[in-house]
Amino acid sequence: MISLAVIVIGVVEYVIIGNTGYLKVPLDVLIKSGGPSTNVFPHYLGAIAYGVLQFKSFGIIQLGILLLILSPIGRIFLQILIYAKERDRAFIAIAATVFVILLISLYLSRYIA
Amino acid sequence: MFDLTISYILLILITAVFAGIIGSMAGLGGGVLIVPFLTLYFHVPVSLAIGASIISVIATSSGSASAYVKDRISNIRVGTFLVLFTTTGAIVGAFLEHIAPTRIIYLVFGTVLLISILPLLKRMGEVNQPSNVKNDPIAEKLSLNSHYHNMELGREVGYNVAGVKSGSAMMFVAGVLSGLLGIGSGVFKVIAMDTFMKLPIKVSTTTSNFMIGMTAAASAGIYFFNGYVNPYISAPVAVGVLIGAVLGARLLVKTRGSTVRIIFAVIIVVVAVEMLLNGVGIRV
Repeated sequence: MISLAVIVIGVVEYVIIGNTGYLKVPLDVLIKSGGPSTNVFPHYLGAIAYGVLQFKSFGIIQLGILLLILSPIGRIFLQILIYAKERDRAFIAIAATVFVILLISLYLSRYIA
Repeated sequence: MFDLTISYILLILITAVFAGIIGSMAGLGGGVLIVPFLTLYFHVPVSLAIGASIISVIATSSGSASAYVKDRISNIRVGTFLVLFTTTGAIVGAFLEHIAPTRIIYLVFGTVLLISILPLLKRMGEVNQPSNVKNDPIAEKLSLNSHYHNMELGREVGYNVAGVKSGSAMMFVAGVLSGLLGIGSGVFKVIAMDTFMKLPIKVSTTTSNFMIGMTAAASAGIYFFNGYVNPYISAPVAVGVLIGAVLGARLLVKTRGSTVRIIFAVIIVVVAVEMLLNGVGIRV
């Protein structure tokens, strides 16, 4: 839900200012290009952080999307805490394993093109 | 140009709300609905459409999960246990990428899906309260069996969990598929829980919703860090699907199990046709 709020803030800023904060790609060019060649929006952690600090609308949207991607990982972490409170050993182990697998795959994803 | 952009984004938003409603009720991410809409109607490049679809899967899961957990329809214990197999499968799938041409994979699983409609149809007329289901020894040990509010009977009913082994194996296959094809594979998750593990249909779809977000998060990084998640498209999709998923979750609580089963059967046909078309080389 926080991620939703962050995306909405970014969208509202974009609608009001009418500026992505980055090189503007007209929609028809974007559609004809086939995609990745027009990625003039931040998609690296550093660039996103910089964009947010500069209050660029697309930087803020990307932060919201990133938070959304991370939310399932947060949920399984919450699940570990719940099972720990219930002292349910088997399920602490299961949830912790899933958590580690998700972190590994997120880490690996940076190296798969 | 600017006005066109706004109306274009609003149209994507409306489509996304619809996909979110259907996705949260049928236990899948809405990617099957969003990708053809974006590519065929909005002429979005396929790569960006798939990036948006991954975002849509996570948004459906996040938007509906809170409602389902609160209403105690989804079985979090079953979900957490099975997610173990889907996420492992997803990593294996990502490494297996070149084992077979994707077209053959699409053909095989499109056919599998069409066949899997049969057991679903056979149980269409039932009151959606699986009876005489014996608890699997593993389910017994992990106390996976639970209870939920059954609409038709109008009361709280208990249910057992069968076929944990075959269900888990199916989940692993679903995970491999997500890794290989970049799809959420919520359909296969629901079939595994409904057909193999004999869970009530509403428990199956809502538990699938809990799981798809995690399976998708495992592969979302690849798309995000490579720039396939374009704000123009992913922002309206994320916002729309989140809104739709919350609405869909509210609706599902008040919907009969048999209606959910019909919605799910229709979705299977759509997915199967899409997969077969991809298999013969028509990209949707």
